Amino acid sequence: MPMGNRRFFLKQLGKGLGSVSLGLGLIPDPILTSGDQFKFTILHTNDMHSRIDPFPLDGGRNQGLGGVARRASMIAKIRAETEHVLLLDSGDIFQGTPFFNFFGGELEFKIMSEMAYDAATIGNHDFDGGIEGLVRHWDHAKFPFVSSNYDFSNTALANKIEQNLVFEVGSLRIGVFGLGIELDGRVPKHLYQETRYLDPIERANAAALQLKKEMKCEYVICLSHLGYRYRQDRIDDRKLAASTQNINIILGGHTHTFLVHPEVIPDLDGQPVMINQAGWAGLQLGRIDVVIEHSRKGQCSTCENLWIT
Amino acid sequence: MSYSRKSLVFAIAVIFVSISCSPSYQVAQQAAHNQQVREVSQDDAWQKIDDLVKPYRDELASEMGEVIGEIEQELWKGRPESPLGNFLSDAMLQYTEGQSGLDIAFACLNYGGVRISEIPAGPLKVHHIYEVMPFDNVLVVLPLEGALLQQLLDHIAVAGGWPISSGLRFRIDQDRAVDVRINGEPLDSKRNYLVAMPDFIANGGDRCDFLINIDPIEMKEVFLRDALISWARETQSRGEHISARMEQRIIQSDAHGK
Repeated sequence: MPMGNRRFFLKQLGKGLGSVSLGLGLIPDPILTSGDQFKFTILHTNDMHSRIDPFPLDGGRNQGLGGVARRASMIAKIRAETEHVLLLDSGDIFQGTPFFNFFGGELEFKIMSEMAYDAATIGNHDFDGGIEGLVRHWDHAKFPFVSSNYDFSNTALANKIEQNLVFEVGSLRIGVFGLGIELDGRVPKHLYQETRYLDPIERANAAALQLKKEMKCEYVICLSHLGYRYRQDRIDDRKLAASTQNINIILGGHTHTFLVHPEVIPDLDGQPVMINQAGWAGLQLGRIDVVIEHSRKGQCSTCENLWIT
Repeated sequence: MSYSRKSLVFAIAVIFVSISCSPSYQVAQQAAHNQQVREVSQDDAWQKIDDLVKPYRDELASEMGEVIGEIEQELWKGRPESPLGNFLSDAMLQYTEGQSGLDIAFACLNYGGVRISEIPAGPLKVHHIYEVMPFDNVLVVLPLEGALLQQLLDHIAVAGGWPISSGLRFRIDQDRAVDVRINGEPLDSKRNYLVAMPDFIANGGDRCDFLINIDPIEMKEVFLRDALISWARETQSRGEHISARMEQRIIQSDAHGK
């Protein structure tokens, strides 16, 4: 497997907001003590498809909805109320309005940087301006891209995309990796060039294992652009969940699915994996509130089945 | 893909009881709420982004806001047939025939190439065409022998129907295109047919590998999007409105089909 040069991205959220350190040193054990709880919030989007402005007031079904400035305002409010927030995107940032046709993705990257996205993965439409198109606007993206099953080593994106990321959120380590969909037949070859698509299940298991065991992450997030569900045997987020280990949540994309409830599927070990997806076009902002508990006995005292509406 | 227009707040909290013994960190609760992005007060965070967007928006506004037609009733997307698909494929056919002088059997495009779910009734603007057809796909004409044409139609049948222009009719039966009529005539396996399509399909996209080796007819290269805009402008200049209705171009006869 092409691991390239292994770099890990560490971010201190909360008090040291914004401070970023690269490279992997010795990681001290978390300082949580028995019975401690730790809360953090994940905000996520997918398939924003260059929808900068709200849908126009023209009688269409989405009229007046969405819009990046409104999303920024919602995110700012949540950050003001919540100590630990991760903001993530599951791909297909590009393509869908003239903002992309005319400016090639520059504006999308600038907006996401201004909103302080923490990471994004690459969707099939993010290749629509070609590898060169991504490279041309790369410097406008002040956040890392993560992909674990595209091998970019023979392209101009070599060494620009992370295999996986570790965020230090308070005293927790949160691992993030990304999966992209097969490009052959979906994206013209001259656009993706020598990008190699690798088996998502195999790469997901490798990335999640590395994050959980080697990198000692307490929580592992998969940013997936595979799609929520297909009837055929094509890989999707549900099959991925059932065929892997060490993943806590899959934040999906590609199928533009407005999930009424997130789905929970047992993984290979019988552990629950949550799957969520937030439609498309920036019509929704996905939000996951997570409570992690530390217990010496290996049992969770506050765990109970609970639906909140 | 249904969702309620109401503000969506869904939540689920799930228990994660870790069986493994060593890491004693467990996800105790996990609650998800997908929130609708709608009108907010225009605070600092809003203003910052809006200021960033404004110069780009202004540069696009005049070009994208140009009215290039009048749509009589909503054009929506669907399978096996839809008004939006019929409008797009008919416009492709008429544009291609007008430009090339060729006798085109029909025009088609892949379902996934239609990128918005509807264009509302009322003025058609340039931005609608950009949104429905954002890709830099070029319009091409492929000469297809009858047998290969049948393969393409079967492929369309398996997909549950693609937008096709009015000259073509067929029924989907068990993932096959049957009762094919091309301008009223049954498909002749010995004949050559000219078919207009996006180069994406001609280059094997959407699993059309069987078309890769067919050389397209030489003609002036034009983006599909630009072809549609120019067709709409011409239609408007003749004082005609745009209307497209369902006319049973593709019939799904297999109740268990896709």
